[in-house]
Amino acid sequence: MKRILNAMLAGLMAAAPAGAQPSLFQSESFSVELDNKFMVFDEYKKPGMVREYDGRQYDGYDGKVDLRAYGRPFGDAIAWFDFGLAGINSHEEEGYVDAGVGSFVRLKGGYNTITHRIAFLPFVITQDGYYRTNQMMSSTIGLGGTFDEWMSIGESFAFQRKFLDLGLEVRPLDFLTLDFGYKHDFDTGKSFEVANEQSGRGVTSADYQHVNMVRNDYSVGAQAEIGGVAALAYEHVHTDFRDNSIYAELSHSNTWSTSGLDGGVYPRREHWPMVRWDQDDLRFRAHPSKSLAFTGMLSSSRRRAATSGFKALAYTGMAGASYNPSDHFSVTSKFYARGNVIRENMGYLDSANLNPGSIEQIDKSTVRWELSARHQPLSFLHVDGLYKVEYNRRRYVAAERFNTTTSGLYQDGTFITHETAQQNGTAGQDTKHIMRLGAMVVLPYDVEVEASYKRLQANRAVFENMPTWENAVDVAVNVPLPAGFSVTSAMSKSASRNKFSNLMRGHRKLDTWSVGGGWNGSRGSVGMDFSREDERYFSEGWFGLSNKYSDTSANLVTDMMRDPFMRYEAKNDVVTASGRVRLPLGLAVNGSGTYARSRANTPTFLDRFRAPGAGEDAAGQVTDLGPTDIRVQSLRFGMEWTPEKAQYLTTSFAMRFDRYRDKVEGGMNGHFKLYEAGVNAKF
Amino acid sequence: MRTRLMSFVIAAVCLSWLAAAGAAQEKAAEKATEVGAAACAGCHAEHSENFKKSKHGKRLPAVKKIDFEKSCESCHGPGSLHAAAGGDKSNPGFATIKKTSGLPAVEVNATCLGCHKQKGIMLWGTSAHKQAGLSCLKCHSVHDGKGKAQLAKDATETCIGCHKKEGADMQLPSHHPVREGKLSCVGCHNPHGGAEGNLAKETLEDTCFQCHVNKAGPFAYEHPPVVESCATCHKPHGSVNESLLKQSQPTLCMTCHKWPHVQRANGVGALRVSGLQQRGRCTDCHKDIHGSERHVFFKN
Repeated sequence: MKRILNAMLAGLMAAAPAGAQPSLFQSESFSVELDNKFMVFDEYKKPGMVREYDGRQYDGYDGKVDLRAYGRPFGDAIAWFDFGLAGINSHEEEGYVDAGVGSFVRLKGGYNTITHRIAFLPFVITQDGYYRTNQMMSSTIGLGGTFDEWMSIGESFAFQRKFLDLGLEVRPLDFLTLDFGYKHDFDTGKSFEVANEQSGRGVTSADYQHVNMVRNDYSVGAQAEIGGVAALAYEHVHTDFRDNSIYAELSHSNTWSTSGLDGGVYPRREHWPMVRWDQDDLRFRAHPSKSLAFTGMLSSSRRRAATSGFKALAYTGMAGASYNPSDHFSVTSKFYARGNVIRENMGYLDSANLNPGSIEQIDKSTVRWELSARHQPLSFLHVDGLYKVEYNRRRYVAAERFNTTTSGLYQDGTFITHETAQQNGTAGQDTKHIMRLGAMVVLPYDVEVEASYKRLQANRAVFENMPTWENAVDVAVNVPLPAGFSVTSAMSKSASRNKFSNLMRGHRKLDTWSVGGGWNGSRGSVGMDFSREDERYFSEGWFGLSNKYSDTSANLVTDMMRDPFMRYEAKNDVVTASGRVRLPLGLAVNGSGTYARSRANTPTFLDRFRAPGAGEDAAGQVTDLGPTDIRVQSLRFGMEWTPEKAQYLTTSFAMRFDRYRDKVEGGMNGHFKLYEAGVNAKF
Repeated sequence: MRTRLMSFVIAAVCLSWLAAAGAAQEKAAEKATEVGAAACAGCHAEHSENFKKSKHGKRLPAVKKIDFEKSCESCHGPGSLHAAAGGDKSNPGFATIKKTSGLPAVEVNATCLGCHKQKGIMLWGTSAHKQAGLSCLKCHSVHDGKGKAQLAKDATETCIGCHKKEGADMQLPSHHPVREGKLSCVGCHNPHGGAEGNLAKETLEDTCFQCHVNKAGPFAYEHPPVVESCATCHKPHGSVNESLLKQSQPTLCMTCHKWPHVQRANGVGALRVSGLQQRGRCTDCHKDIHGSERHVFFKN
């Protein structure tokens, strides 16, 4: 197929003169664009991160073809046929088709591929001043578990998502359009996994996992216009999803004694996810006048897990109205409501020997109303405001103040040990108020200054790590300069906290700052941006001092060590630059570059930790639970030449250099260089 | 009193003059007739040629049955007086054409919505972008736009032109494949308005489940943050931590699970800094953290 296409493209390129108008399709216009790239590729070290989403093979040739025809082959009605293929010979081919006749019928299709390399990512701590990596893995099973082996094997892991999207649109009546759609999504490949090898002993093993997932979506819909001032759209989508991956089974002598379920066999995943999903969606809009708009939406979703027979039902409604008589004033109000209900299948729980009494799924209802307005009282002043209130109610949530060793109170019982003395229940009800006020002033010389203030106030956070209170301020300045230059700068600061937590005393601070500038002229444009993000989370940390697995609960609880300022901090700096300038004689140069540096730390402030247990590594002072320092850079430069006497032909040269560097653990570092020479022809 | 009276008189005169000028212009516009695209191309050759080649220019006669000859005036209004002015801006007829760059967003949007009634723009009327006073032309280029949506720039470039913080986040080590061109912002967002903010689906979770269906459940054992909001643990635009996590493990988990593994008679004891549990991710063992059909602690 590829050879035929290549020969076809080469033939077309050689045969067609400039400006040719072939009679194909009885066309009023017919155009072909061919893009051929010849490339040289150099790759160094590991590709897993530097090419995380890049599955192209860059082997010599990479082609692209676009074909467009437009005419009247069926009488008076105008028809069009657009077709394209890209990435020919790249291993990541893409294609599309869009064809139609008048307003009666239209066929659309697309084919895409996404590659995701699931690299082996080490987990790092700082101990006694040194970085230490993945101590969790043993090498008893699977492909072995030594760190170096995994660094070597893990680099080749990737899965590909192939995605096909087809749609047919038919308009039997002027005011009615019918849609039929089919989507197919197929994921296949290998991913890296760490598996729990010996339950209860904290010993795991590294292995790979096959990826084999299929999803099919079938949709049918209709859109209708009502008297030119309103419209209605309905869609039903049926989805089938199946995970066909083959999961290896691990057998060990350990049993999960708490539940007694496994009987000495520890399957990595016994049940393969299979979901059937039906969704209905009805949308409405009305514009009785230019200044007045109404919108509405009703939807329902029914998702069923085939393995367990559990069903998730969701119903959503939204209604909105907007009055916008001019650009100087607008006011909008929206109402939103949603209800989620989970229907358990008690038969499954009995058959799987689970405890029906310990399982209760959370049902949730949400009601939200918002009002926003914008006004320009003076030519140089814009003001806007927003108020939003949201009420959430959850049924069958964990007890809010769980402080007992009785498991019965912790109804949901699913995400922490049910005997815990922890108080981190999910909120049964919460109400949130969000308010935002903003203003924009235009100063002399068209300098624009924009500022806003946002406030969140809630009576209860749904989880301990969510805020009940937040203040955020944003300021931005835009300065236009002479000769097409401009400078923009923005700053934001926010602080949030869970004020009603008994335990966490946690809060978060986020500061961002950015500055950018550029030039925009008749011959091209050049721009550069710098952005900095500084994020800090503070919370309490509690650590055990025991060095034996079999310590009694009493010992553990009384032997806790508290870090009152457990901290996570991240700093991200990103610089981007891009430009494109047209030169005389049909020459053009373009370039772009990105440099991102990300650092994160989780420093600990505890005294030297206790001696290790049997089978553990030598103890030492752990001063950081997750140091990270990663630099990602990407540089591209290209030149193009379009001869003045042959505007249909463009020759190009481009080079690209991408690099991934982890300064803490460099096992997945790598970079690549790519050189491309291309010919683009349009007929 | 006298000053007030003077102010009133001046204001009344100004308003009358404005009203008269507006009325005169409206009257002039009423008289204008259609002249056809060929006349427009006489001065606006580049616009005309680009529009003719564009998807917009080809679909208009095919779908809306508006021939190319009538296409310019279908949006800009009748142009006879504008053409007759011959580029003389002082001529009252010059301003009778609907020049979109000078029109209020409300007017521009009404012109576009006159034809565009697709399902995806049903909720535009109350969307966040409309509330912010944006016009369709902020993102779309009618005469020579790119791609399916006739955008002035690439889809992602269009969005990060304003949403710079999200653009910077996409450059971080853990990210969705947006900067690689495999996804665009509209994969998750509907810039024309959604039921919840500008999300493509009804909730954030449904938006994520478009691709991550294997995390959707319902599971026999559910992890409440998955049911509540994916953003409890993840930062969808980019993160320094693997899997777009807000914090690295184990501290992310410890922000809710204050002292995990405590009081387990046969368990692994408390989370010890010197112990094995600190040397790996919580999800190394609690692998099915998004929900399990089998295991109360999401083990595999």
